[in-house]
Amino acid sequence: MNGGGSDWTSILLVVIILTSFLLNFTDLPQKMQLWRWASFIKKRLYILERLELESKERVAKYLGSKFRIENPKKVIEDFMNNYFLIRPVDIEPTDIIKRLKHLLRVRDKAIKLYVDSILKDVDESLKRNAEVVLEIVSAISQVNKIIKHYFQLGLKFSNWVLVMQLALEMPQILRMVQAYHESLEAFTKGLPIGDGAGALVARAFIRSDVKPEVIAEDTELYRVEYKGRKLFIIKARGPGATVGWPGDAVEKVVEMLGGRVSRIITVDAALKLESESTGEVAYGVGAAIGDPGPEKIAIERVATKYSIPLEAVVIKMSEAEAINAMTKDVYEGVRKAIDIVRKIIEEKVGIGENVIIVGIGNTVGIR
Amino acid sequence: MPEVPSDLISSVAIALMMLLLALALLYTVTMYMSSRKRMQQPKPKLLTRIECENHDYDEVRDYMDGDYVGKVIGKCPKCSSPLTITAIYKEIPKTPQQPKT
Repeated sequence: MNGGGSDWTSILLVVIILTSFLLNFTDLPQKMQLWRWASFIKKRLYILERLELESKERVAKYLGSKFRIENPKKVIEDFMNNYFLIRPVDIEPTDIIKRLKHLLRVRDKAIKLYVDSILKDVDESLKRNAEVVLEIVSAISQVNKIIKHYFQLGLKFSNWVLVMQLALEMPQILRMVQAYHESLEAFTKGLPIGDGAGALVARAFIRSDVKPEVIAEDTELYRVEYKGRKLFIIKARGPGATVGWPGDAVEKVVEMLGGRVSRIITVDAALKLESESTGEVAYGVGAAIGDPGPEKIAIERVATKYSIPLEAVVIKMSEAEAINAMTKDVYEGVRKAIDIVRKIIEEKVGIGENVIIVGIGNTVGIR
Repeated sequence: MPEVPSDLISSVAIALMMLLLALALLYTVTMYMSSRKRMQQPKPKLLTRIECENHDYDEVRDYMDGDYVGKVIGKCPKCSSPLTITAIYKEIPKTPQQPKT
């Protein structure tokens, strides 16, 4: 046994020196990391793949059973690979809003034409739901494609930084795709979603006997009396899934009233910070609307033109809650927001004055 | 160089192996428990809130196909004004708390 300990010590020293050399002077650690991150991403890509497949099957079943479409899979494929939007040139910003608005409307019309050509003699609200359902499948497929692209690019060039970044982002991406996948339930059944909180607040001021006027495409205006004040309530036309064109509508109503508007109150859903709770309500100044730009700027411009104060009320929720069936917490936020809007009207709008209330958001499940 | 007894080295190696095994076991148990917890979460219930336009009657019932906010579904049993759907939302049923022993 004598000298056995010294043998072991020599072996251990050789192993330590060799390992230290391999770890410090070769690319082995990076290769090992790359392999670990890659296997992490692959596992999540299987889940993404499954979600995409399940979404397609669910939508195919929905289109086939609800609308009796013969080849729903072809309808989905034809939609998914088309209808992209090339954003306008932004190095020359002159009239960029007009150009963006034009492109958004052209795309919207093209999608409507596509859905109209497939769903003949179907109620308009069901057509709008089908449009959003197709958009969701398309979005899930697009995310999947982009993830695969960066993953394969990272592996091709052994870019471990790219693969690592992707791996770190994967849980968040997966959660988002999962939320999109689950949101199919709300749109196929026609249930109000979290994003419809603004529309629900607007709806609370409208009695069933008030008839709407079409003020812009997919957008309606309701004239209501509230404690001696004249309310002009704008919301997208429900109960189909649409957000309408609230900017256009506000512009038209203000011009129609010759600028004699005491206040414009916009109510919308807003993404909460991780430390905030769902259903929290906050109010401030500005146009509460999360569009790409044209609608928000239209409200801001017309309010500035006539010096009309802009009030914003927001209901906080997560991204997943915004696109899924409304939760009780969000609904409680809606009730708080209704009280805040009432308070603003009673305290800041004089009797006999006009006030515009805009319920922003997707109005699925809300007439 | 001082001599290291071989018994000590093998004991350290065995202890390390045991520690690794224990960690692996702990990880597996934690993962299993968290997946079970996820599976046990109750399914959310879809509810429809109905209110009288004069605010003197309201009820909450299970969601039915064809419900949407703003739909008039009848007359108020108290004042005969229209009963309308004012909200549709999902609620996660609360699981009864386990009694602490």
